[in-house]
Amino acid sequence: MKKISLLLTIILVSIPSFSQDNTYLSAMLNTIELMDTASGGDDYLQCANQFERIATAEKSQWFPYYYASYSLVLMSFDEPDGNQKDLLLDRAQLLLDSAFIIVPEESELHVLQAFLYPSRILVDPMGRGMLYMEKMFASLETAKALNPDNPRTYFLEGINKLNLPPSMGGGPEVAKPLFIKADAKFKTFHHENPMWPDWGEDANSAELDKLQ
Amino acid sequence: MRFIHIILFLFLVMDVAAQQTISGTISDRKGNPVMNANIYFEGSYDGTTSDAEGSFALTTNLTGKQLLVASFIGYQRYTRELLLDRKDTAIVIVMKEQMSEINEAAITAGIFSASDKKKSATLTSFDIATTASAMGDIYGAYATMPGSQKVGEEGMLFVRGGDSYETKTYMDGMLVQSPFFSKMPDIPTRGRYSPLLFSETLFSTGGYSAEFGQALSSIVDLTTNDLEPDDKTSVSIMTVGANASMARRWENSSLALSGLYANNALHHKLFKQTVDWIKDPVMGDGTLMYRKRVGETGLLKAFCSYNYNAMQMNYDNFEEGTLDEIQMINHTLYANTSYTGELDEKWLVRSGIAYNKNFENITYKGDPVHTTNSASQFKLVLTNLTTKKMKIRMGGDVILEQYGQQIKVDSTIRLDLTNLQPSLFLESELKLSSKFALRMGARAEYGSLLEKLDLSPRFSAAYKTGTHSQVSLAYGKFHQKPGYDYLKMAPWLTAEKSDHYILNFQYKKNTRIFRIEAYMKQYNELVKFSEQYSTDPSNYNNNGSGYARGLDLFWRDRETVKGLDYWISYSYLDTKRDYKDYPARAVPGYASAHNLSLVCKYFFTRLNTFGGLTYSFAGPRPYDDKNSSEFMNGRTKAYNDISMNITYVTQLFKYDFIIHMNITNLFGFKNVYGYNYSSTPGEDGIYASQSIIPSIGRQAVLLVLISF
Repeated sequence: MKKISLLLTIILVSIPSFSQDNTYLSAMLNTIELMDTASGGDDYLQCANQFERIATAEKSQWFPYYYASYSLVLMSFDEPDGNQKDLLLDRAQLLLDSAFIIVPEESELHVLQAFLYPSRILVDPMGRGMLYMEKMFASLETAKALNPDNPRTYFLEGINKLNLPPSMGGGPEVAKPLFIKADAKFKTFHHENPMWPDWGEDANSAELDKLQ
Repeated sequence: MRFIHIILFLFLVMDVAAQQTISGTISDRKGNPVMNANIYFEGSYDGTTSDAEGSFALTTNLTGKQLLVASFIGYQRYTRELLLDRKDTAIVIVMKEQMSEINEAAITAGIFSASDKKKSATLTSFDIATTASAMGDIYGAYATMPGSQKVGEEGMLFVRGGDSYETKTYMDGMLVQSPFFSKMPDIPTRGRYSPLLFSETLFSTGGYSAEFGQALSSIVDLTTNDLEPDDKTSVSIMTVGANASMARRWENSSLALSGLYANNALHHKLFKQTVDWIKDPVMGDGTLMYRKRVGETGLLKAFCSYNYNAMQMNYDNFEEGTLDEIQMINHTLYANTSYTGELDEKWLVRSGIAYNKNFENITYKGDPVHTTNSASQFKLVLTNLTTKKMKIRMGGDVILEQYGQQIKVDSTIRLDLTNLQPSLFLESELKLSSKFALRMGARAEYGSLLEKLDLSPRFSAAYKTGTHSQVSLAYGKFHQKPGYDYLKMAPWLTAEKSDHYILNFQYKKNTRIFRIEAYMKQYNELVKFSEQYSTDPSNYNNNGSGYARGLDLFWRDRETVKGLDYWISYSYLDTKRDYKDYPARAVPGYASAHNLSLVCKYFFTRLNTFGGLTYSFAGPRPYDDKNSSEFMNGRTKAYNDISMNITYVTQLFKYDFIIHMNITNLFGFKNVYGYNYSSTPGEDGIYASQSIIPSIGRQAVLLVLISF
């Protein structure tokens, strides 16, 4: 009887906690899947909503905040109205800031930060271009310093350089080696956590193909 | 083992039995459905997203008291406690709009703010630096804003019928007593400080906050940059001089140093001058900025700048028919230290000390006049943020001004004046709803020289008429003590007074903005005298008065044509005043009824080139025609100017290069600012006249900047 009651205690205690972990992982993976197949603004918003719900339940995890923010950034790129775009980005920044509080030294967060700024620039390129360009490059530098093997850093750097004219230190010749470097890093980059960000590889290959 | 199975089974049964559905609709306060809102139970995964009709249904296993949350971008978070009792429930959620910079009413009457941070910015410091007619001068850029007058021979701001002395400049909330370089007669001056030092500038054409006093017409409030983003060194060489700057950044602090030397000698050889220079204007400047973050929210800023300018010329004194030698040497020191931070969650504190000392030595026909001016200021402002609906600001400052002048004509005359001026203000900003904002305040000032307490009430309100439009109005009373040129002769003079009434409509969508503002201004107790420079105190009194009324229009658009940014401003002004030595009420010499500016900037992306073009027009200005019996009866011809600049940015040997060229009065318009008349009539009884014209017809400045 003693054995049984011990077993019972173990089961009773472990069932909720095991299921909790399991629910978190499966909820995250399902929503990431949904986000990857999203076709437009509303889909992204629904994913962001779901990630935010998970975030409020799992306050110590940075992935839900990261993905909620990432979904809104993706959505903002499609949003034509400047004021609305800014509102989305304000929210995305707030979520990203919450993630920064949990893991301030995570390279992926700085990459996402560098991905958010160009959308800010699109609202008012002439007024904001200079300021946010500087911030974007600074974020990428930090991301690189924290993890030199993060392929997304080189991918975003490549995109930025590609869009800069040659006289400003940009252009295809400068961008190409960065895409190649990113490509190599994408091939070796592996994280055992299935929730780890993995975006950018296809887009990077597409850019490389265009430059071939 | 069976026992365990039973237990497990029980859990499962309980789970199913506990399930319950919450359904309902979500809408805003007008009844419009809110789509894609996030509706969930706090701390759980149970939630859903509303559909296009605002309907939602969510199923949960939770029991007991739970917090239902609804959130959507642009709306305030909605929460409601529900007792989950396993019965399906239907609820109605009404969301309130979030107050944010974009959708809430904000006080805009009389204010043109320029900020790199705020989304409501009308002009940023970058805009200021790239306005072609401004030649990199803050005040030059603000001269393209509605409400300001083009007065080519002065270079200072003349706002809404006000004289140049009626505009005051503040830096980080602290008074800058001498913001302009000392000037020579009929030669325009410019501001001492580069626009690139500031992240935010605010230009108020009237009705401004009770925090500011001692300005009858307008204030310019400059906010210096926060911490420098990173290490940077740059050197620039211009056709008029050279500039070097360096910035160092540490984790929580930064230091920036810059030095400028300007000499117009080469410039005056290249462009024909109407002025007979003995010594070409020379200018020197050294600026230091230190910033330090203190704690989590505090920021300490220290600014120190030393300026020097000197020039010597033969002034064509047409009135007396002589050529007078004038030499001017000016030294200025300005230091300002300020601290901003949170005291606790409810209180913000801003305080500062500033010191300004200005030496001016003018030798006129061999007679030296030394003038020193100094101002020391301490200021403290507290802001209470207990509720979002009401912001209370209170504070005060003490300014000690010392004026000294020594004139050596036959004997030496020395005049010294000291004025201690404490002041207090209280202001509250009420957000009665997201549509309606109200600001009420008052300022009390005492001047030891004037021995009088002046009270200035201020009031403004803003009402949002649509998603992108709002109407605002403002009223205020303003006081300013007379200039030391008069106080030194008659220290018992009282403050000059003005009343502002402003009505404003603004439409703003994304980067397009339209503003129309009507105003009425009443002047009282202006200083009057019958003879200029008279040492007889009975010569001076406060019997002057005047009015100014008009309409200002502004349109800016940055999105219709990609890469093109342009603004148009137009001001209509009707003003008359009786002040100084005016024999009657008349339109003052600096006031033209119509002022128009068109400013265009275009970014040639492929060429990496930035081009700017401005057109400025000012209607005829009055002047006193001595051959006419009526005062201020003459009218000059209209003023026209087309200026352009071009900036090319490139990288060479891994260094950033900027090549910048600025040409003012591209087409060489022959502008006339007014006329000087001979003091004695000729043999035919007619007073001879000479036009006051710009010292340079057309000019160009070239700059090359290298940064490492």
